[in-house]
Amino acid sequence: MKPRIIGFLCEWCAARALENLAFCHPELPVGFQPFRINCTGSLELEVVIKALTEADGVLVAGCPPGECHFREGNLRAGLRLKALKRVLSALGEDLRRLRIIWLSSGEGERLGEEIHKFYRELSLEDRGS
Amino acid sequence: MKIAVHNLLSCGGCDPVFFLEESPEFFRKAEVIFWNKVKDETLKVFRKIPDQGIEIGFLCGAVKSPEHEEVVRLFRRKCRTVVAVGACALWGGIPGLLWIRKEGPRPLSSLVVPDLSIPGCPPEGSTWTVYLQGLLSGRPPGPSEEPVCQECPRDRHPFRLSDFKRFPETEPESRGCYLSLGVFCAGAVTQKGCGARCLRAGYPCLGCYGPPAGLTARGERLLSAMVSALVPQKATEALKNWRDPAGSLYRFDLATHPLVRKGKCGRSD
Ligand code: SF4
Ligand code: SF4
Repeated sequence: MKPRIIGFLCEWCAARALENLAFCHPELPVGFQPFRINCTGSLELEVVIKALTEADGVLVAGCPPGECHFREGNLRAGLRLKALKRVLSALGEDLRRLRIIWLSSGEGERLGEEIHKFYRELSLEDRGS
Repeated sequence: MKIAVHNLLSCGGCDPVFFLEESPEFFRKAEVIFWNKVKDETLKVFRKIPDQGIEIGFLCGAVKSPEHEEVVRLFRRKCRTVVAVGACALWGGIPGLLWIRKEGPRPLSSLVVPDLSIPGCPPEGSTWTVYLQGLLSGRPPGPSEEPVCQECPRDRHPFRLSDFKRFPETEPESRGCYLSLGVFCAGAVTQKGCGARCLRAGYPCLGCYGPPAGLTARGERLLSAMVSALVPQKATEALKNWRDPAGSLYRFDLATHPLVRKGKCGRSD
């Protein structure tokens, strides 16, 4: 089965970083499915859970601390996801499946690296082809 | 009217309502054909009853063993109306927490579609009356859209939290909403109908009446609300000290959680 990673990318940073990255025609792993969201702070935990049931991993990418377009959306999201991780570990879930990163719009290359790293950590790289 | 009652995986606390003073008039007139807890009968007896030969079948508890599954299917065949009773039948209930160990039961509704679902752990006498009257008059009620908070006597005001607490750690004389005390009160994500029984007795709501109509992911919503109230500087510490996450959020419905249903969670040890 092909691997699947769902990405929730904040439109003010990570989604732009992905656009910048796209100009360089990078090699992205198979099955990475990015979604542009308004702010990580607007991401419902229900949606994260649903994504976790459907994909091998979920990547949430938002603006670095202090740079949120809505002042503290990323901070709120960070806390909520941290709390969700406590719940997931209580349920015996593999915590590596949920990854949270903070990066700004200029860091396209780093986003690419992070995506590759995520695939490697979940041992999904060879399942691609 | 001929009825049948059966307890699947449960504590056996739902059907004693039949003996209570507040029990609905209905049960005094009913003729009990089969009741595994009261009459010493086996399924053999039950299998001989003609199909559709029983007016109403009440099923309490969750489904775990192949025998449970057989009983549920038999009930669907033999009873014209199947009524699911209590949190275990509806969402897996407390035994559903076994899913933390990967071996929990399933709710009844995963096998058959009941004609009526009576919520509660156990359902209050008044709830029985409302649901049965509705059923007999041809208008079976569904879940309410409003939460337990509507019936709750505690004081509500805006709040921030620096810590999560469990009920015994709160001041007995406090009158404020339990959420404002840092306690995961499920009232806000639970349908009303019990008359806020627990809150009137001075205890936070555990959520036994299930979600209000149309509300999904109630555990995650309660978590979101509580975490959003945390003072950021204290949040890391508070989350570290938070005990029993699964029990605080999914006490009665872990068996219906999407991750459990997908079989992606549960310890393998
Ligand atoms: S959350 Fe609980 S304590 Fe607060 S108003 Fe609702 S039922 Fe009452
Ligand atoms: S207050 Fe909550 S736990 Fe208590 S009976 Fe009502 S719904 Fe159930």
